[in-house]
Amino acid sequence: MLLNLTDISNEPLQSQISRQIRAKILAGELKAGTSLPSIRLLARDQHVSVITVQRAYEALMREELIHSRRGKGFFVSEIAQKEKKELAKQRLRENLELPVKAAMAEGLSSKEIHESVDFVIKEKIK
Amino acid sequence: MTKAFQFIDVVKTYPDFKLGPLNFELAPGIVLGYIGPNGSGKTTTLHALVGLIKVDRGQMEIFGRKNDPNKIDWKFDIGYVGDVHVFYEGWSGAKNLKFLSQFYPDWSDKRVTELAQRFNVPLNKKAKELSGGNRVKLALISALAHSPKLLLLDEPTSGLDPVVRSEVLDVLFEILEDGERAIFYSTHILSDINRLADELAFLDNGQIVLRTAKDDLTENWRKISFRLNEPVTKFEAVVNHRQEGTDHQVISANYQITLRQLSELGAENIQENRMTIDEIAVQILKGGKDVAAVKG
Amino acid sequence: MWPLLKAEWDDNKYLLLVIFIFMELNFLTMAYLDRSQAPLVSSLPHLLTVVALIFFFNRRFTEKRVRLQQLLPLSLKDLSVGRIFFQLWFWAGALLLCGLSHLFYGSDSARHYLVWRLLALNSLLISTNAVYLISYDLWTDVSEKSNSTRVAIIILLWIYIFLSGHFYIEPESWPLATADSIPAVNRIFYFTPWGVLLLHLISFGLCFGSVKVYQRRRTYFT
Repeated sequence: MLLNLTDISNEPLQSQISRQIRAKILAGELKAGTSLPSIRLLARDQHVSVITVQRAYEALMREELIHSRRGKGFFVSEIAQKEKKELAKQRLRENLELPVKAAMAEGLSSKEIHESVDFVIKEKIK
Repeated sequence: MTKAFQFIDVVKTYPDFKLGPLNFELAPGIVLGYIGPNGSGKTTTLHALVGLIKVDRGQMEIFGRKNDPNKIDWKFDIGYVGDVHVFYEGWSGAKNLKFLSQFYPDWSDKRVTELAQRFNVPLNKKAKELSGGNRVKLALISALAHSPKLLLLDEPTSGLDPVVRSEVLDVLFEILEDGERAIFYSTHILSDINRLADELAFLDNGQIVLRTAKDDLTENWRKISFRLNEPVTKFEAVVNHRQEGTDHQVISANYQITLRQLSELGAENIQENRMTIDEIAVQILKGGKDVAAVKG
Repeated sequence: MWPLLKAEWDDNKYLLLVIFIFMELNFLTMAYLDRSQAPLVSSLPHLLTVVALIFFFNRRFTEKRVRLQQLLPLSLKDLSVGRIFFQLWFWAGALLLCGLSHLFYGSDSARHYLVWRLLALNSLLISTNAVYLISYDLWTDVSEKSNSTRVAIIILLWIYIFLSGHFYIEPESWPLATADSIPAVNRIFYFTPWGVLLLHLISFGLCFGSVKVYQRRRTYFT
């Protein structure tokens, strides 16, 4: 699995790993039933410690995005489309908290914030 | 499961320095970073474990076997790259390795060739003609060739250029794949074990002041800046505090606790940033036991 | 242990060759001078041999070498015995040369003393060897044990070596010496079987001591 991990980010490696795998699952790239690399293999491949990968996988298991089968490894779980949307919405809300807070601290109104979101969708993400 | 190594009440006293009592262990499959300033006793710890010095009290075990100088079986399980690399200087690297191969039943010549290629070491040059970096590489090869279950490394990447350093880390990551090997990595160059280490032990003045999972540190420590009008004497979980007027900057060992307090106090413009392992280590080593206690 | 001994031999073979040639020249000179009845200088080669011994050891016994060996999967016993063994084996070669030189080139009177001389030289060399090892270990072992005891032992041992060497030097080479004036010490220790036996016992005792001192070291680097 190709991941894009960096040391120069405010996001801990563990979160980067779980976030990127989550994104792949929610976007449908990793279909239900697909096997994930073993903890050790991923750790070796991405040059991170085993514990880091372990915690990332544990986070994903808590969200019920993946499950483990004894002796067989980790697999992507079945997730209904509706559930996927809900999870994605939840993530977006979490991610928006800080930028929205900062924007409001700088004096922007709710309307202005909504306008900016539309702008980003239209112009920045083609 | 047998521990890769275990230190039980180990003490070594010198006229001006005391190491220990050391009580710690390393489980297989784990990389333990051993961090401390120069003179804190890191090298002495390793010397005691491999039998270069005899301790005054306590004992050490390697995969369940005492490191008895009269027995040799425990030595087969370890690969040691020490602070000083010793070879027969007049011999080539290849000859030195051939000599060592006679002592280890699990030695693999194939592995030697493979590693020499990856590390780009000229094995036909005499040991005394090798550059510092090549000597380290030769020492690494001699430690890795018999696939030891426990690697004891004392600043193994010092003197290596970034490319070889990366290759060495590659090899170390590979070794860990089967989950049965352990690495004890003593260093003060933390960028090496930034990603490699699972756990860290901080050594200060002969004592281990903190033993923790590395991710616990990187997850919980933050540099937080904020504005606060009221005077506050103590911030929770904070090990360092700077203030200019109403602007504050703290280093927190548990950012969630600190943030909670800040929000209760009504602090504004709160910005938090993760810290590198280096920055965290400096705080821990500067602060010693007091800082280590805050983390809890 | 054997791979280690082989390695030590290999690492030092050129130096050993030079030393053997040097010693052989010594012994031939000594034997020749004996023949020509110029005994005054005949013991010089023996002294030079001991000097060669010390030079050889200095070159070999470095902290790094000790460290290298100590890290090998060899028991302490193997290491300590291996050290002594290697040195003894070296000196066996030296003695052979000395003996052969005497046999072929020595004078008749020299051959009369040959047996005693050889044996006395043998014990002297073994003793010097062992004392050097003991001194090295006692001197370089970094530990908190009392310094004065160690220094005292070292000094006593070297006094013993010096005296052994001194009395070994043929008395007839002393100025104004006559056959009657061979001192009692020489007569007892260097010319009687019991004396020589005692010297050898002391030598092997010192070897045993060096094995024990190595095993008792608190650290294996300086």
